[in-house]
Amino acid sequence: MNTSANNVGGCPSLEELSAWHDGMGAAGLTSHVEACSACQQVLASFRRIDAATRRVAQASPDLAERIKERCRVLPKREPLFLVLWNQPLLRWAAAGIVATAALLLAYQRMDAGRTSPAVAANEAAPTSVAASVMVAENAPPPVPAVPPAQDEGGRTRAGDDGALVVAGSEPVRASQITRAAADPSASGADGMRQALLVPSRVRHVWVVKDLEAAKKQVLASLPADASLSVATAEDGTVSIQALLADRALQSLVDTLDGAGMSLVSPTAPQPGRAKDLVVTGRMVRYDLDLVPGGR
Amino acid sequence: MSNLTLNMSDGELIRRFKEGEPWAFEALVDKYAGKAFQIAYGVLGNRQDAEEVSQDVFIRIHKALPNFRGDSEFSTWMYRIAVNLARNKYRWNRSRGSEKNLSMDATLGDQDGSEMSRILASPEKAPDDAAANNEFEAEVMTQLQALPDLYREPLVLRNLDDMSYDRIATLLGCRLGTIKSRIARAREEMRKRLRV
Repeated sequence: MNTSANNVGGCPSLEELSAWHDGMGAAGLTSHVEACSACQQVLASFRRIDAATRRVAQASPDLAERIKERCRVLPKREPLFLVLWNQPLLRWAAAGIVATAALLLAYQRMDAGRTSPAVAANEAAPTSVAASVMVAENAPPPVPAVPPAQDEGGRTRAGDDGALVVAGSEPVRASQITRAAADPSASGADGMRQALLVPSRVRHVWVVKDLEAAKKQVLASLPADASLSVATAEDGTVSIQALLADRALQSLVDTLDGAGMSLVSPTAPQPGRAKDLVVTGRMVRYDLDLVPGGR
Repeated sequence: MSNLTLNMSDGELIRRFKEGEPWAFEALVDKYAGKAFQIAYGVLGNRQDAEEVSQDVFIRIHKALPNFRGDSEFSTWMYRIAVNLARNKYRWNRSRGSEKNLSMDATLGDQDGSEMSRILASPEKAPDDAAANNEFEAEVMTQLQALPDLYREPLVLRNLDDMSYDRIATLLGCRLGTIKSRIARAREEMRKRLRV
C-alpha cells in the first residue's frame, strides 16, 4: 500500500483497496488481496468501521412517527382558485370577463326581440332538437317555446298536434324526449352516457353461500402480481384488500359474479358493465367483504 | 407500514398523495425517514440536529410534493433536499459558534445519553462482547463526529444502503475520483484514530 508499510509487498494503494472493498476496484486485485495478509487486515478494519458507522447512524425508531405527527398539523394548501383570487390583476381580468359576458347576453336578447317569432322559430327548431339529444344526459327535456313553423327546406315543421316532424322520420313529441340516464336500456342513450373512471379505491360487499369457497375463488381469481391482505372477522366475514389494475378489477368482478357470488354494492365496476368504464391500467385498491347469505 | 404500501412504488405513493390520500405521504415518511436522518447525520455529525433536519426535510417535501413532476427519482430528490438542509444547518451552527456535539461524557439520564445507550445496546450479543462492541461503537461515534466534514459525509453516505460512488458524487457535487479518494482517506483516518 502506498501510504503504509505493507506497500513493499506490491500491495495496492489505500485508495485502490478502499474502492475494491466497495466493489469498485480492478478485478485484478482480487488474487493479491486474497493472498496478502496485510491487505486482509486492512479490509477487516474497513469492514469493522463500516459496520459501526452504519449502526451509529441509525435513526431512533420513533423518528418517522414524530415526523408524521408534525406533518399532520401543517396548514392545508389553499385551493387554487383562492391563490389566483389573491392576484389583483387576475381579479380585474375576471371582472372584465364577467362584464363582457353580461353585455353580450344583453345584446343577444335585444337582437332576438327585433326578430319575428316565425323566423326565430324557423331557426331555432332544428337546433333545439339536436341540442336536446346532445345534452340529454344532463339537461331536462326541452320543450319548444314556440311551435316551429314550416321549414322551407322541408326538414322540420310543426305537426297538427304540435309535435316536431323531422323529414323521413316519425313525429317526435316533446314528451318522448327523456333524459338518457332515466332509461339506461334505451339504445339511443348509450352513445351519450358518460364513461366512468374506476375510483382509486373501491369497496364491494359480496353475498356468498360458502365463505371459505368464496374466499378461495377470490384468491384464485386475483391476478398473480396483485398484492393483497386477507382478514377474517370473528363473525366469519372475510375482508380482502388487494391492489390491482383497474382493467383486472372489472375482470375480477365479472368472474366473481359468474361464480355465483352476489354483488350488493352499487359502486362501479359492476358485473357485465365493462363498456361503462374507461380503463387506464392504473392501480386501484379493492376492499372486498364476503358476507354469508347466498342467492 | 402495511403490506399494501410496502409493495407500492414511490411514484404510486406520490400519485395517491396528489389525489388527496394522506396515508400515501406517511408511507413515504416510513420508507425514507431513516435515510434522511443518516444523510443529515453524515453532514452534521450530531444526532439531535440530524433529527431536526429530517423533520424539516419532510415538511419541505410535504409542501413541494404536489408540484413534484417526477423528472428525477423521488429518492434522489429527497437525498438532495436532505443534503442541502443539513448543510444549511451546519453553516448556521457554525455562524452562531454553537456547534453542538453529542458528548460521550453525558450522563445516561439525559435525553442524548439515553438515546446513545439505546443505540449502543446490543441484545443479541453476549454481555462481554456487547460491552466491547458498545465501547468500540461509542468510539466510532466520537471519531466520526471529529472527522473533517469532507471525509465524514461521503463515508456515511457510502454506508447508507451501500450508496454508489456515482450517486454520492452527484449528491455532494463532487467528481467521482474525489469521492473515491475521500472515502479512502476517511477510512484510513478512522483506522488511525481507532487504532484498528
